[in-house]
Amino acid sequence: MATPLKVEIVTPERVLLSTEAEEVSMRTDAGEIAFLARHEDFIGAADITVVRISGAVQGGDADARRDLAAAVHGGFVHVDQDANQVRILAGVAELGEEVDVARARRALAEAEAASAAGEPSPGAEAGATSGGARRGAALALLEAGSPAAAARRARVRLEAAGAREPAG
Amino acid sequence: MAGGQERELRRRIRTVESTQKITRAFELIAASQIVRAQSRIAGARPYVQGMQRVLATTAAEATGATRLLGTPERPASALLLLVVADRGLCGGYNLMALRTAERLMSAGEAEGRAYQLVTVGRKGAGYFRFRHREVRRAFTHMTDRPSFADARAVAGEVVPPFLSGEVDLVELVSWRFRSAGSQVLSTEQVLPLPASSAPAAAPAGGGFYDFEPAPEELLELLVPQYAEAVVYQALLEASASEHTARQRAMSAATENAEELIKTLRRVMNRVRQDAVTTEIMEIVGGAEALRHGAREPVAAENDIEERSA
Repeated sequence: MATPLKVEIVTPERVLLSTEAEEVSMRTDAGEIAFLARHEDFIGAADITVVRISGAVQGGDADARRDLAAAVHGGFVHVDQDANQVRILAGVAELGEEVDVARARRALAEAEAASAAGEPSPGAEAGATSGGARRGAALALLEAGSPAAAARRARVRLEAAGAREPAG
Repeated sequence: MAGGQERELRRRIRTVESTQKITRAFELIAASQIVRAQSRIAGARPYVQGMQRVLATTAAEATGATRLLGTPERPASALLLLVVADRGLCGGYNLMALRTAERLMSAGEAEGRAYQLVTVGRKGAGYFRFRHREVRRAFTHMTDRPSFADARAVAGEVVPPFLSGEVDLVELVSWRFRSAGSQVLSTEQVLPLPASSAPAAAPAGGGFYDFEPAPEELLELLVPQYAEAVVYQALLEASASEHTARQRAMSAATENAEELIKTLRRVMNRVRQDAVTTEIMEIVGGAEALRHGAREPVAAENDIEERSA
């Protein structure tokens, strides 16, 4: 591609991803949206969404293009036409390949059980006990809150990881 | 007598030495934390700057939402967020922040403004509870290594009261980390967003932006998340400043201990020298007496007899 689009996913702790790509698609509060190179200036509120990045260049090798996905748990997207850049700012985000699938499945199952029982999600406590302590704290944020939101977050994480939802 | 003094000094030197070991350990720990804290500040910068640009662009377009921007003229109520350390041993770090917060609140209250207080760090809650000032919420165990989850928890305590209209102003007292050599205690306005944070970075190229949702709505979504970023950065900078202050204080303490040990050693050596000299004098005196006694045994015997008589 002549003018590859610059893509950044930025979280408070670090720049999660910085690459060049052909296309970025995601969901904002107003619906699905996709960005190609030279997209006009845009600012939007990102939903809890899977961000799909097509044709991402890895390690400066222009021929080695591949598709990436990331789970973004709310935030903002800022497109700068002059810089030809899409920047996604998210409090919590994960690359698909970094998602702990087993954990996301468990969170989903718990959230669904909780919503069936009409109780708040038990995810916060579960998060504090399993996994590395710091990572656990960040993930516990994702699993707290209403069961419906927790289930949605878990689904987005699984989708970004390319994993299938457990049957049922 | 002389030996007792020497023993006493030896004991004091040992005490100072073990204190010095502790202060040196604290110094080294703090020094290693500074580097990590600094890299976390650098890691957070892209996010904060990105949010600032989004906010500036949106605020420039949003015309309706006035309560979120600018500085209220006569705020009737305010909330103060104070960031200090969990522990002492860091020089004036805690006390300066506590005094500044106290002064700010009494100045505000003199103008008839009610203050609520949220503290981060055990020293903050302790200080104000002792002075019978109510602390709305006290966070602890986060200043050593603040995470974004911590910042979210703190922001979750200070942002909703503002959004619901319970308070008109949210202020922050914390140490800012300019560089390894310079930290400044700062008082700043968090909410409403000060005018200086908004139109500073006007987007290049005129900026015909598409907003989704409309700028006013977007701003309402942005403000809480921007506040989280501001709190996060404040926590990180306070943490780096705390480690720097502790390192400096502990390094000074280690040096003081070194001085003290040197002085005590000098005194001890003199005391020991005195004791040795006295001993030698006694031995020499004794030997001399014996020598005289050997030459004139009769006189010596006479002496003894005289004494016992």
